[in-house]
Amino acid sequence: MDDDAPPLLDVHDAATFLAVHPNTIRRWAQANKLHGSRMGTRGDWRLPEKTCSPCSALLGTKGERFVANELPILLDWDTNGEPYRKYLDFVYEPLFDANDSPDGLMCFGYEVTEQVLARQGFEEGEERFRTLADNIQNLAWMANPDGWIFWYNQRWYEYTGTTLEEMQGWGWERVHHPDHIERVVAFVQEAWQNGAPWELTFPLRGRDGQYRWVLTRAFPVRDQDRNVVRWVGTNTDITEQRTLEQQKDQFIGIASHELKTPVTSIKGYTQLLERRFRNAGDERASEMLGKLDVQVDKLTGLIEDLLDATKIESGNLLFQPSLFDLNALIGEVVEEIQRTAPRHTIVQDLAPVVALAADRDRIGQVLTNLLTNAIKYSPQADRVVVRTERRDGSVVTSVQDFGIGIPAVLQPHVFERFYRVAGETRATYPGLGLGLYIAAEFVRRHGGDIWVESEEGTGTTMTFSLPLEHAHDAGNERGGGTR
Amino acid sequence: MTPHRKRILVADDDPAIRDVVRMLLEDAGYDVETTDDAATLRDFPNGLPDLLLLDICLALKSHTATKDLPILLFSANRDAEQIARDAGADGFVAKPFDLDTLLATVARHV
Repeated sequence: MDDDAPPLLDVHDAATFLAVHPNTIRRWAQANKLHGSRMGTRGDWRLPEKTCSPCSALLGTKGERFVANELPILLDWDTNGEPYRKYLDFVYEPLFDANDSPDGLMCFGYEVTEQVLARQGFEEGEERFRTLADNIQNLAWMANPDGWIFWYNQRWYEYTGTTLEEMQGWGWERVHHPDHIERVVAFVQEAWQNGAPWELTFPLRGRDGQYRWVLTRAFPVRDQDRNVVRWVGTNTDITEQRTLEQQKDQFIGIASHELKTPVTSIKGYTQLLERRFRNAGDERASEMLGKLDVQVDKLTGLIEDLLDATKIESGNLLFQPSLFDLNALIGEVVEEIQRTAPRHTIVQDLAPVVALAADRDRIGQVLTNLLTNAIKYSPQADRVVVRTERRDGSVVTSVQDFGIGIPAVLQPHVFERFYRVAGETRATYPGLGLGLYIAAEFVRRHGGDIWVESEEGTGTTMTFSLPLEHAHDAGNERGGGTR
Repeated sequence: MTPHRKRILVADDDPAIRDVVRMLLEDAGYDVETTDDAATLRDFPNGLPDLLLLDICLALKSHTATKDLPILLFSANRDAEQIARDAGADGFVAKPFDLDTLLATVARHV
């Protein structure tokens, strides 16, 4: 419709007041280029009945002005014979004679179809949004840039048994678990400031008083200038997944513990036999049993890794910090690994004595995991280098190999649980994909950092830093139970 | 060989572990009694041993009769050391055990 489409204007005398005259509509339609094949042939236009009655009523009585807004007019002129709907705002203005008696009607109409359709489209969109928002299984919310929540979907109210009045703004704090509210508030305060999409898990109280775990995902809606105009978020119930995850961890925990019993007796018998054969002078048998013992130790290592991963996940990791000489520990670990890796020479390039307050066994495990990894992934090389240096209140330890290297795209994943770098020519390298994950977790939970530098075909350097001053704070820290 | 052979009581749920530990300790010159019965640790029908190797924590240190008995915790738990300390045991041997470690620990406490 052209913006400058002429308005509809008609003047009737008393005899033809009943409705807008057909010719008027036709003229108006022609002027507005609304030509239809059947236009005019049947005089197919009509106004809803209700528009006529007030007209006649007003003229029949005192003759008051009548205004009809967004009046639908069905015009049957579409080539498909479909009624063509137009909307007009009408004003019926009675005309009076010299004696103040109504003697005519001035009708002024202005088409508002476009506005009406636009508004209906908006209302439909709004309706669709509400239908969607209120019928999804997720709880949903919207907040101002500063985090003040102004809208929740119906599911939120159903689940929490609350109202918008109770919940708007910061009311959500009331349905959070007292043990978690501090963590959640601290997190979201930073998140609102940050302006980046975020995720968080926490328990949320239902109307029945029971808490269920939810995963909240929030993302910022921005205007053209990249300013956050509001936040949109959903909460997904992850109680089931968490339970399954916990059952899985529990199962692995129990299974690995159970595996230790037969492994203990196997190792016991192996050592008993090894010793008896040795005492009897049977070197060959004794040697074979020694090899069997090494394999049993590998099996034990795998079981320990599974147990450690489970403890990390469940937050039951205990550290027993003590003050120890890092160089001495490195020496011990290197000696032990050197025994099982005769092809490689492990070179030590260590800074002067560094006393570290940490869990000696666990840091030893970190070193063991990095060294065995370096040897595993450099089958063609004959050298692995361990370096330490002091750097800004930290001790930085690196393990460098000259092996296959890790492609840049894979490097961010090497410290993930179950991640394994696949070999090109040979079968995948053996292992559970837990070694680096465990090493990284141990380092991080000591307040340290771990990273990788690598070039394909040249080799890999795994480095971790441990704080020297605050290391004693790492004691007996329980890992976060949530991620 | 000491004039009187030291006697060690090993309590463990698992028959294979009892069997192999008995042989290992006997090879090392100890007299060994094994049990999986908690009652044995209450009544000591064969008299008090010189050392207890236990796979469970018992409050033996609070009983007059057994409070001076050296007790070693024999555990598959990664935190065996901590558990042993908390339980007031004299030491621990982690499972799976290294024979030299077992013998050295026993010798130190018996």
